[in-house]
Amino acid sequence: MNTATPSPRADRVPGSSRVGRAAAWIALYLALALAPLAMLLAGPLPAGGGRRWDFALALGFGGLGVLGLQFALTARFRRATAPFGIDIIYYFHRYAALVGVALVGAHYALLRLWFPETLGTANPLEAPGHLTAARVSLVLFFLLTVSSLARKQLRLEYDTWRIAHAVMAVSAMVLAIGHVLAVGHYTAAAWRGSVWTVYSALWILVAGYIRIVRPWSLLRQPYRVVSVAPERGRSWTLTVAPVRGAALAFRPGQFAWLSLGCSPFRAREHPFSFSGSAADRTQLRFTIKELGDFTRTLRDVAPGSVSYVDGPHGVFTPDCFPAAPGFVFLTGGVGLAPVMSMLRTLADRGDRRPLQLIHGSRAWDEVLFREELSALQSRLALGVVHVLQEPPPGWDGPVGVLSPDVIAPLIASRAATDVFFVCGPKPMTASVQRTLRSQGVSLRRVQTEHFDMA
Amino acid sequence: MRERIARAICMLTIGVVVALSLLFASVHNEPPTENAPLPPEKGASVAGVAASAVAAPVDLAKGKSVYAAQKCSSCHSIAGDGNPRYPLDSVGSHLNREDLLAWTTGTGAAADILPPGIVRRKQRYRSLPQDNLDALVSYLSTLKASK
Repeated sequence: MNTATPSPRADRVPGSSRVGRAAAWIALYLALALAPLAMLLAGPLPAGGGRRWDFALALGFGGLGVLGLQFALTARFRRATAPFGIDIIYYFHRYAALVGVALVGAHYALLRLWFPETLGTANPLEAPGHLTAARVSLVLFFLLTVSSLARKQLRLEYDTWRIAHAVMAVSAMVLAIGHVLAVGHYTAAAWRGSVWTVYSALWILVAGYIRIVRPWSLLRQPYRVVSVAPERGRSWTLTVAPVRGAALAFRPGQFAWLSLGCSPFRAREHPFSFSGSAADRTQLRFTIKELGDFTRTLRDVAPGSVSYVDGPHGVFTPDCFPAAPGFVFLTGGVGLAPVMSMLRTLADRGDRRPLQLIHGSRAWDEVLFREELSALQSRLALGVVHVLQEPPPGWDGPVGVLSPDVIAPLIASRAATDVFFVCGPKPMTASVQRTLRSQGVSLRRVQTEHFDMA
Repeated sequence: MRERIARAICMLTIGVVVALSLLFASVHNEPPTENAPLPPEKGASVAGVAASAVAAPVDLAKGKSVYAAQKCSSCHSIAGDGNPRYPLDSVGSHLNREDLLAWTTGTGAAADILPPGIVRRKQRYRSLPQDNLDALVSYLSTLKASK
């Protein structure tokens, strides 16, 4: 049996200084987001244009600061995202987009309301270029937000959406900066001009990092597909092995972005949870349900195909809670994949803490990892409860979903002490979290993963 | 837990942006001092317009209509109406008719001082009928600072 020694890279996740590092990154975020506004306040400027005028302009600068940082949020800087878990950074990215769009929208709306004559015609043939740039930028930011929040309702395919998202984001930002510099009233003065140049250059550097530096560094650690094996519940387990050296070190429950059969420069990677044991450094396993267009093509992936793994990411891991007396896992469907990685790892480490899994599936034949779960019970102090929506005849276990009635009696004895991991479809995780709260489980001990990012 | 923190930071960001924007709007537009008179509030009358009207009333009305037709208010304000960035309220006090025409049509000193894009826009007004330009300049020259 192999006892995992956490590598220095993955070691950043837990620890007492995590809160301190998180606070420092939040402070840096606020400082950078507010920098354009702070520059306005910092010193001598040309005469003001009245309180309303300057308020409307300042909102524009504030909105641009927030929207500019959106690029950095999704650049997957491991050092910056590790204290939080990158899934929550994407969650934040989504809310911050609403904040930024609301601010630049207010910038426009207030000018429209208070100074309608200054905006003139929207006809791009007659309107000044910098106002047309601002209008197009505003429309793009709006489209970006709508197409992201409602991607599924709009039936936008993930890869198409991603490319459109990147193109629209960069165009909107370039037009917005063009607008600011062309108006130039508060940015042209002396040192501000050069600060703005540096600020714009930073955005370009971040984009360059995402598109060039990171793909390039991934190229140096290629993996080959070993197998693509069907699992119960229309899921597949993909196994990849490093071409040379050991596979990257991860913590059980973490995930990675996977480029399968294509260069990382093509930006066609998808986020997937590790499902294998973290103690096994010879290969990486991912378990994936056939959901989107990409996952449907997974079965056609040929063994030997090259792939690239950007990770590990996420803080959905028992390794963040070395002192926890036990763990409870509440999962639905393929949400079991990261928990499977935890169970396999804990078994390989010889962990004897009490574990309880409550797993929801549609039918008995679709219970992911059904056989292995019972086998693991001989290696772990693990209790397994299956909840079935369509139970077979003679089923005497719980029926339906992970409702309060089902969960509450099972967790009552552990509510005050254990750490809870919840992973599954959105409605399920939301309802389970409410149940846990009503059972007196402190929020600090409830871990969730947002793996539905857009 | 993490979701709450994320949403709280978003709320904090929007709150601080709005607060700093209000702060900026307020400190950057301190109540007028003697050295730096602010453009009057919207709706206030510009002192001296009627008293010092040199041009004939009909000329003044025509000048105003040219000002409106050419959408001068998209970049300029008079008595708080229009773009507050470049108020014209006292322009008649420190520019003579010749300078006013140069600044209107992007020629002479104005061509050297203004950014090229603005000069191009202003030079379009050279194609206006001469009497329209004259009326506009007459109107502008009535805009005097209050004593």
